[in-house]
Amino acid sequence: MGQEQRRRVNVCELRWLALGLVIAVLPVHAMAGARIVENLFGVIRAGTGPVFTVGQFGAAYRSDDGGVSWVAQKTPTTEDLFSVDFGDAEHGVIVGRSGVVLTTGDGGSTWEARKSPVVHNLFAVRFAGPKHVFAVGDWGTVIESSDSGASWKDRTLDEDVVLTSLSWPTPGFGVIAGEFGTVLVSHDAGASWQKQTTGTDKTLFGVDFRDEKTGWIVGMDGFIGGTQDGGVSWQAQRGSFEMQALETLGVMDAIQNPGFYDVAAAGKGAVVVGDLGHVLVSRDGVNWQVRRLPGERSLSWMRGVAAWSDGALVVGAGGLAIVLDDPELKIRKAVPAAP
Amino acid sequence: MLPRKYIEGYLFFLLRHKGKVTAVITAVTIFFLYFMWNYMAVSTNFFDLYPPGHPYIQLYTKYRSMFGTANQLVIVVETPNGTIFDDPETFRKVDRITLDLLQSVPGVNGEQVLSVTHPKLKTTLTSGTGIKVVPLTYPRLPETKEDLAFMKMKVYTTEGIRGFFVSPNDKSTLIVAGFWEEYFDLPGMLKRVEEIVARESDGNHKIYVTGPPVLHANFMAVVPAMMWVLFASIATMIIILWFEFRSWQGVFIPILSGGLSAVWGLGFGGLFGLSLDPLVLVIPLLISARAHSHSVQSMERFHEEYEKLKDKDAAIVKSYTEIYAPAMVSIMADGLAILTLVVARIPIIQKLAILCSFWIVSIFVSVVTLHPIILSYVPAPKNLATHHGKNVFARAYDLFEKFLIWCSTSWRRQGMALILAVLLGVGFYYSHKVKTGDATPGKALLYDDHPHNVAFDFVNDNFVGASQLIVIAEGKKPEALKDPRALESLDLFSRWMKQSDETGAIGGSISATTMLKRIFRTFHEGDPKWEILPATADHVGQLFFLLTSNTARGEMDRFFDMSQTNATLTVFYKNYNHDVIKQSIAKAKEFIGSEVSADDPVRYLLAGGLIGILAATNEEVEWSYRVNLALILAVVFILSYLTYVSVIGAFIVMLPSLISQPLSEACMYWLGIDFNINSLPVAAVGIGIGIDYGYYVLSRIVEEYPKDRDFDKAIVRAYNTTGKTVLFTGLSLTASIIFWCFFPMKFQAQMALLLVILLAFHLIGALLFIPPMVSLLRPKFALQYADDHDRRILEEGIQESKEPTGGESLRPGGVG
Repeated sequence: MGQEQRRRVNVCELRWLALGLVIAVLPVHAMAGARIVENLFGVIRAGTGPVFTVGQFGAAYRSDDGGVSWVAQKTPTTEDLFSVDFGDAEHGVIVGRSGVVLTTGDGGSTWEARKSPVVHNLFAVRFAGPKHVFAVGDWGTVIESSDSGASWKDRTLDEDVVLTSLSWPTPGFGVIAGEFGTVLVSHDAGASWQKQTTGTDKTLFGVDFRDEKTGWIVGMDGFIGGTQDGGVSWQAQRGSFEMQALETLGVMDAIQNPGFYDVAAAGKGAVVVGDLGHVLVSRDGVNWQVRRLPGERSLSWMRGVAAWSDGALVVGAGGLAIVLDDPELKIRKAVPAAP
Repeated sequence: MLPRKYIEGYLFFLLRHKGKVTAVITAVTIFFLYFMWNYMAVSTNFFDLYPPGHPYIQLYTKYRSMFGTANQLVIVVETPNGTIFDDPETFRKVDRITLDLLQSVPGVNGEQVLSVTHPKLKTTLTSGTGIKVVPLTYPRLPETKEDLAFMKMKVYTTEGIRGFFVSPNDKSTLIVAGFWEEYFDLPGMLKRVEEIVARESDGNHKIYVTGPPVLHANFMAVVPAMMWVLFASIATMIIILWFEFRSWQGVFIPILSGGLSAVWGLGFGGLFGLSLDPLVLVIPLLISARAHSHSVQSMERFHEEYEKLKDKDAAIVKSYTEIYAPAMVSIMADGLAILTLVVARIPIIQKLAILCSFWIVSIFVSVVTLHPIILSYVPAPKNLATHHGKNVFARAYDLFEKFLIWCSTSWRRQGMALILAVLLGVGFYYSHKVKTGDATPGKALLYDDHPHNVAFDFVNDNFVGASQLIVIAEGKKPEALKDPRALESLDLFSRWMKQSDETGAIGGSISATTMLKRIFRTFHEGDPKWEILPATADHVGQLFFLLTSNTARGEMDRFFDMSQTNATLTVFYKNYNHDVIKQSIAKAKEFIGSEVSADDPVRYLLAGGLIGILAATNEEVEWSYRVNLALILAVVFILSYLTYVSVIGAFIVMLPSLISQPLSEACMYWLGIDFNINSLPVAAVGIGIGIDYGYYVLSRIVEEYPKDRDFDKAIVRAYNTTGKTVLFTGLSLTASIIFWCFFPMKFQAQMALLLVILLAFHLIGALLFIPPMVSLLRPKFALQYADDHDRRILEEGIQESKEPTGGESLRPGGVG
């Protein structure tokens, strides 16, 4: 998500968080065309405009009504796509399996494959500035572009670590999260990265910062960590820092503490999504309330969340797309028109 | 036509040597009775239903030991008052049923039994320190609330379980069992399954059973009921015969003819191991009806001649001389028509064709050979004119006859030609709308409310589908699946099938990639973004190793073989009508044609599973039907031409068949009768079964024509004699078949209805269209016959009686 957009989100009062969330299931919203059958991994809103989500088999969908209905976007690949972000209303980047990079310069109407400097999986992409964009992936992969993704430089780390997520609350401050409890912070627009001590070896799947001080990391076994000092120190807000085996946790604990896969800052708090139908909402950024998906989706996984001024969107398994809006958290499995 | 001297010579031979001929026929009948009694069986052989030469069936035969048979029994345990995760007893029931299927149900392929309690269904468990590939029931069958919650989590997080084995609403779970086609004890299986259902059903658990094995077992179970309907049909025939002939000869002789033909036909089947499937029993019924029909024709003609000549032997010779030619040619037409079914490359149809054509040919013995002999033994009929005159049927026919005569004279002849053309047009238009396959998805054989179909609907409504299409990815070299391109292609194929589905019938799909991706994700702490296929052969190899090292030999066969060379893609369907099958096969071929390159490590082969078998069968049925129709038309035309030595004659006599076939297909379309492997024989032989009506009517007109060389008068006499018999025969046949229309099994009822329609069209066609067309076209072969007839009379010095055979109105010049 772009910096200006993020700022708008951060300063907005999210009424739906204040009012509390209700989870309701709505009938499947049907439109002419193919169904979304793919797993969806990433979601973002381009400024205040359309919402984009990406997933398996090169799938990309666009919604102009906040995720209620979707239109399939044609992409030049069948590789799995993991993450999408927009620097402004026109320029966006998608990254995916085996180093796939796609860009758009027309607000997502068309997507073009770009030459990637790596062949490793790229799991997350975020704009640091209007044209300055970073993507991270496995084998310590970090790539950087200064022209909205048209060309890339390989900035891969020396360390063999899976990097899963990154966040750019301001153009100069960025955070990367990954396995073994890895958190890397940059205060110089990505020119250098400093490893932070998180106190855990657990794989971290998501990171998001509201500003240069306040942020969250989420990971295995229901772990949520919070920081108020830019990642220098972390508090376990949910779960523990220690690795725990299934046999140690016990069955019920394992069910109630599944992996958390993504986090999005929203007002003073944040929204976390994860496995086994878990959606967690915090109004103060410290205390978390668990919302469970109802019915047949009660144990589905959700891999991406995007938040904006008056709502949020969650995507996940089997074309799952959940609109969180005021005052309800509604589930809509959107059905896009054919490309 | 056959020379009269040969026919008369044959008849004189029969009468002179009737004792010896009777002895030979009796001996042969006893011979066939022995084989019928001891070796004839009504049973289902599933392989007989498959066209063995079709590439799909060859693929199925080659790989079925790997991916399992298409004959899957599906048992569903429903918890109507809650979910399956509420009470451990539900899982105990599933486990008991699973064990019973494995241990005590005959015919089950033990490798193909699957349920949520069977160890073959695996899940991967992950936490902070390790990965396990374990049975879904690990560490034990649920016993506590906590166990049930754990089970629910495993069900929800394991690919290929929800929707496949547990309904998304958690209210039901299914158990599947495959059956080998060769070792199938249908009655034994059904009995055991019914015991299981009775044992496991209670207030909180409802059991549903569906699938091809139980479907066919249901048909076997109603064979005794079919016998009762058969008896009812025979009883009706006896009553009608008594009503018509009012003599024990009139009843006994046609029934004897039908019975003798049945013994010969069934004995022939027993002798050569040609068993009958319960689904095609309606065909023998049709053939018995043909024997009965010929018998009534000849009896009526004998009575007619006896009434004129008052001499039994003279009446026998006269009547059988006259009907011999039409009887012979119609028997040959019927027999050859059904024999052409051997071109259908489906064993059940070929066996049926051979058995039934012999059965029909046996009518030559049971009617045209045996009748003269029997009639020579039995006393002459008495008071024929009396009861014929008082007959209600005869009085009703008088009215109908006036209408028929009206239609066949004056300008109405052209009108009838026009109506004929219109009927042909309507028939052809709608016949092209009939589609091969089951018009009613999944329910072609039984009514909607039959427990099997209720269960079939339940499975399709609550799971990914009861029917499967299996595509084989055959490796071009050993361990081809370890090439990441092979798995990626398989994965794209799976997605293609789901996304290109325009019918909405596809409920889901599963392949080795489904599990491999899940394990790859598990390797990476469960992150869904890692639910992808590895990009390197090393990683693929590791996944295969992990999967196979945690499973027993053969447990993964339904997904890939032990050498990791061949794999399957299984697509699940909620129905299998013609459009679904056709589109699915077309879409699969489209993917193979456009997305698979020559250097791919695997080649794709179509198609296994029930959808593959049905696709093969439908293709064969469609091909066979068109070829059969062409062959039958050719055979009937040749026989007709040889009979009348005239193209016009052949055309006229074939008119009933030519309009009956498209019209009966149109009726199939209007009535929603399924056109499938079971209805093919009925539809195909439909063109041949009624040809004898045409032969009898046309031959009689030709035979009557020389008397005054006036076609209109010849037609009146033909209506008055043969026309009446034809109508009586047709109506009595319809009355005997009509019982089957109310049979509780949909297929039998539909086929009976189709037969009734076919008979009606042939009957009406023969009576309504042949005479006007003869009058209109005035065929030369009839004139030639009259010349030959007069010459013969002249040569033999016999004064042919000019006395009409009917009443006053039939005197020359009586009808204009």
